[in-house]
Amino acid sequence: MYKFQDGIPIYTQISGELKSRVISGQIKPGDKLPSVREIAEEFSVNPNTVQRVFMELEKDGFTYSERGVGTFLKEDGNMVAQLQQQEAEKIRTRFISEAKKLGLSLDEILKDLANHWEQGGTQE
Amino acid sequence: MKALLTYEFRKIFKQNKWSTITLLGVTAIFLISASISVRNMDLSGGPLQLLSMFSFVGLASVFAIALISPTITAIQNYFRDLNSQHAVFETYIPQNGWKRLAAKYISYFSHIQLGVLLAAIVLGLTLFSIRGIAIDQFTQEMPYRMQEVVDYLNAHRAELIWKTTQALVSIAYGLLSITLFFNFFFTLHSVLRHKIKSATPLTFLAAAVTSLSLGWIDDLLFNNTARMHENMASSGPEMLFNFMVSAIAFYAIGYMLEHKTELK
Amino acid sequence: MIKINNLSKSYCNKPALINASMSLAPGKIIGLLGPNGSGKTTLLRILTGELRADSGNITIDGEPLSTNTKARISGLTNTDFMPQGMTIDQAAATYELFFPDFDRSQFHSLLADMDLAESLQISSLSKGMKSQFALALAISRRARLIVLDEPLDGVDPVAREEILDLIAKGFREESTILVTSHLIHEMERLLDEVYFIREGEVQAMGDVETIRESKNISLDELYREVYRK
Repeated sequence: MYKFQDGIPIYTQISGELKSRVISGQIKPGDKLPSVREIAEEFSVNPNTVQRVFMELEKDGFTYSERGVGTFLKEDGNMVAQLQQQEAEKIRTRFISEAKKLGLSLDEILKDLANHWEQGGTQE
Repeated sequence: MKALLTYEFRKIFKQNKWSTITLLGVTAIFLISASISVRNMDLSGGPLQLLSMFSFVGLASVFAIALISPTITAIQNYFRDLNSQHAVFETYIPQNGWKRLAAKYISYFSHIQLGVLLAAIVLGLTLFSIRGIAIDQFTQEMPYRMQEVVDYLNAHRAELIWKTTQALVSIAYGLLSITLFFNFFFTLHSVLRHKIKSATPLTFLAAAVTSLSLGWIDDLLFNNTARMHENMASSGPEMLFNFMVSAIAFYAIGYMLEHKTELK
Repeated sequence: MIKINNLSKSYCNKPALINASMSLAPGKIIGLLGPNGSGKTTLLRILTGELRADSGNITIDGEPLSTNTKARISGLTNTDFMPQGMTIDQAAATYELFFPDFDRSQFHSLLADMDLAESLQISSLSKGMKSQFALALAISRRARLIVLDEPLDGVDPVAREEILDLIAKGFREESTILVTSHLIHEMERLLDEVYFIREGEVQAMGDVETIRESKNISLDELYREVYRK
């Protein structure tokens, strides 16, 4: 069962999970998303929560819904790039603030990154 | 109502299926052994006499069980319906208390009446199986007496059937009233159980007091000695009194089930 | 809307529920969370008709609680609530006899999902399977209010997941599901709204996602925060 983080709204976390599926290509622009119920069952959450996810996605312009058919990801070529950028920005912001906390300089970090880029990162 | 009746009858049937079959089987065995042993016996005693005693004792037990156990089952079942967690489902049923009670009582009455009928049949068959025997000089007249009895019976057949039916039904009704008495106090208990700490002893006390009072009122009104069989197959007014008390009790139980009872 | 107004109940003068009020809207899964003995079960058993309130009232869509309203409430306050000696099939048939809103086909599919054969004797089931069966029964009714008391109680962690799944599957727009639990953490993901209860007193805490958003804590932590002396 999907592990949620404490203290962060669940709809935010599900939204994030769906977005990363778009980035990784699991869901492609133009694809029909699973129904509210299916997602609710997959994550074992309240369908109302999933409803909220869908509303947010539509509000932010990622999806559109067709009555009686379902919700679809927009045919937007830029979407994947856009999402990647948003995600990258989040990572970057976090990275910079953590690094600054450690008191490292930009040069030290760049050198460190360059050395470890190949084998670095968590094993998935 | 149909759903309730189906449910109650299925319940009672399932519960008593095997014990009834066993009882019938045992009865048949005793009847056979009784008639064999009685017919082939001579005065010198021995194993056959033992067998016949055994058979008659057996038949008497069957008679008692058939008569009494449906009443005991009814009393037990009703208690369980108010106290067992497996009966919680019944509380969820969207039917009012009187309907639920009526369905139970119809099933209880059917079961009790069947028991009374069975007891009467066992009695009849027992007497039948020992007809026409001469055990000793005392009973040498018996064949002649038996014939007189048989002739009398044949002559008054219709009236006899009516009187017998009446007796059987009123015995069953009497047993049902006993069930009603117990059920009233079980129900009262489940009204009081969360309200008063000493609900159980209090209910016992109330039951004892009520039974004494009823007996006393009965004596007062009808000048009887308080003997059960007289109360049951007795006069018009007394039956009416009995019926009125039962009707009030039934209504009261229904009311409590509907509005006041609580589960454990 | 199901309204519970100032409900109070005592057991032999020991108060179990004190002026409890709740508002239950359809299409929501609502949690009543608190430790054992706090009065959750008492409240739920009053809703199902197993107990009677000393004061206060309950209305279902404006109608006061009565024998008739029992038809609109589906209760599960104890796993062994069905008569003994039945198979799953027979129990469902008995259930159907009295509740025309029972959706037999949904019950079938829920059982199939759990790999439970309908010919099994209920008494032969493990505690977890029994809980699942009882829940499937209660949740397959198109009832206005579905009341589940501690559905995760006494169930192993694996079966618990399946039970949470079941509850999610039982969600319907027209029904309110009211769930109680002391296992706050596991219930969180299912709940729309939450009420906390402690020593008979009920407190409305509101929308769960809003709580997570505004306070950045889990319900578990919130409970401890609220009741820390």
